[in-house]
Amino acid sequence: MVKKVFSAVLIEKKRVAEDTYLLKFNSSISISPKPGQFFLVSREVNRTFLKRPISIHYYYADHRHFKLLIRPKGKGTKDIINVKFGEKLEFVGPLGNGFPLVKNKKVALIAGGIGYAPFAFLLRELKNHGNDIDVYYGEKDKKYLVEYWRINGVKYNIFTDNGSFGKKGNPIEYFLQGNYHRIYLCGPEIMYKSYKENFPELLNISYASFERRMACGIGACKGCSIMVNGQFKYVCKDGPVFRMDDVEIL
Amino acid sequence: MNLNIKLKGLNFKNPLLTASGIFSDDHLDFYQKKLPYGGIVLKTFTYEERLGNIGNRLLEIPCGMMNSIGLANPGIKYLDMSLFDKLKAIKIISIAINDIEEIALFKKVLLKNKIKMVELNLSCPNIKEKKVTNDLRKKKELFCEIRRELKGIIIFAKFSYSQVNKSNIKIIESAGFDGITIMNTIPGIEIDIDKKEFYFNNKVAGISGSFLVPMGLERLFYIKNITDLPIMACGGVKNYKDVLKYIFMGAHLVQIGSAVFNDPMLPVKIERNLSSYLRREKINDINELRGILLK
Ligand SMILES: Cc1cc2nc3c(=O)[nH]c(=O)nc-3n(C[C@H](O)[C@H](O)[C@H](O)COP(=O)(O)O)c2cc1C
Ligand code: FES
Repeated sequence: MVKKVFSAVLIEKKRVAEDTYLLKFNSSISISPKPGQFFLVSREVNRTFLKRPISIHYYYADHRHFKLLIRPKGKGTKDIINVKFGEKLEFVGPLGNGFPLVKNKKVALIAGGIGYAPFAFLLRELKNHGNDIDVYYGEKDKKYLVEYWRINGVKYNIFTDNGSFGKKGNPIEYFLQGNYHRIYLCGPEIMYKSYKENFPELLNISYASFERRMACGIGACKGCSIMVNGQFKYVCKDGPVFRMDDVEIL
Repeated sequence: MNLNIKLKGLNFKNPLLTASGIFSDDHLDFYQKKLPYGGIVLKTFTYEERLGNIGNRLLEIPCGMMNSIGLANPGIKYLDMSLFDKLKAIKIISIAINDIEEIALFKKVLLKNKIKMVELNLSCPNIKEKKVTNDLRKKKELFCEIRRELKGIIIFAKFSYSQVNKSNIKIIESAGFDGITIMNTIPGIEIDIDKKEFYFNNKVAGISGSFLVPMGLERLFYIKNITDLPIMACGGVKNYKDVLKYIFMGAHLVQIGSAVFNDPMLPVKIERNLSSYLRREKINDINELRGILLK
């Protein structure tokens, strides 16, 4: 869909894990985002100077309702989780390319920490397209684990750094090559780095979502640069999802 | 209510412009064909392609932001105006020319694209090799040559805060330029205390944001005491009040910069609020307000 500026009202807010909030919004206009796309978000009054890029955690096919999953880091994300019921936030989007989908294939999703955020929406779409899905999801500690969306037939492998839940370690250590047709990743860049070192042969079927500070969100300001095939690309417009063999990982 | 501004034979439907480096054709999605600007200033073009700076390029600070883009652009050769063909707004190309030898190519491309107005960027703080020159005396010859070659094209020189002084203004005036844009971002430094490093690879980055308005007004006040050259004011505009303040201080046109990132609809709101202001004040023509505080 064409990107727009719109407001949406907060209709539900839940603390779903340590320091992690699930916010449900009702949009003032009809929206049709794709999994892996994001919004720029800020309050309407007392705004931060720049909006913050937040990926779409879940989207209802009614074109109105959507969810964000946020673990606040700085002022912008704190402002967002502090909205009250009935209060509006301002959104710009949907922005970015999103994850490329496949049909009737075996796929894996690897999430590190709050990198789980865009996967609820992606999971539903992959499932609707008849894919066979394995999820690998790692957190520092069990208290951060988000009550994930259990979909019948999706196999979850859970990891914690301290072993407080699931296997002790991170998803990359335990990841098995398992004949996947496509692998989707979202997490800190350091996780991508270790994936790249461990699975060089899988990079051309692996798609990861990248994060940068943003200003315009639409490719105008040239602020969110990333090296792709030796050239600068822009995470907001050319990404946030890139094929991993193309990208220089920091 | 008239918001029209006439300047050197050009007709701007309102005094609002995009500041250089802020706008792209992707913004047109938001406005659905009805562009709220009287003119657009594109991101600065240089002679050769510039990839832009490595490392961090953006940071929010209280009331503003810092950027270290480094004039990323494809080079003037690749100026593509077809994206803006249908726009009625005046199209202004921001250019940075370092050398007399470069002028010919700029001339060729600007003429081919029927460009009527350029903004010569003298003040980008984000290039490592080329520090901003506060003393423009050394550039006199270059300016005269640019003026001569770009005959028929309106030229504004874009200054930074620190470039505004009597000598520099006189140089611009005597080179035969048509006006001055004030101002570009202010150079600044940010430090990452955990890494004990400069936050920006170039060390120095450009600061923009709402706190620039009082500084811009003061510089404009100073300039207007020295010259009658028309001014495009730029720096910190966040609402119609800031636009009016710059106009009261003598600006013909007002550029909106980084505040658009948070609110792409800002120019729409400003245009509407300017009209309401005129109605409220029973003023028919915004041009009546220009320079009222200088008289
Ligand atoms: C991301 C960014 C990129 C910019 N790029 C340019 C540029 O290419 N050329 C230029 O003359 N000014 C550039 N500027 C400066 C703006 O045009 C403007 O002078 C400055 O931001 C002050 O206005 P503001 O406070 O309204 O943003 C840039 C500013 C920003 C924030
Ligand atoms: S945020 Fe402006 S180019 Fe990506």
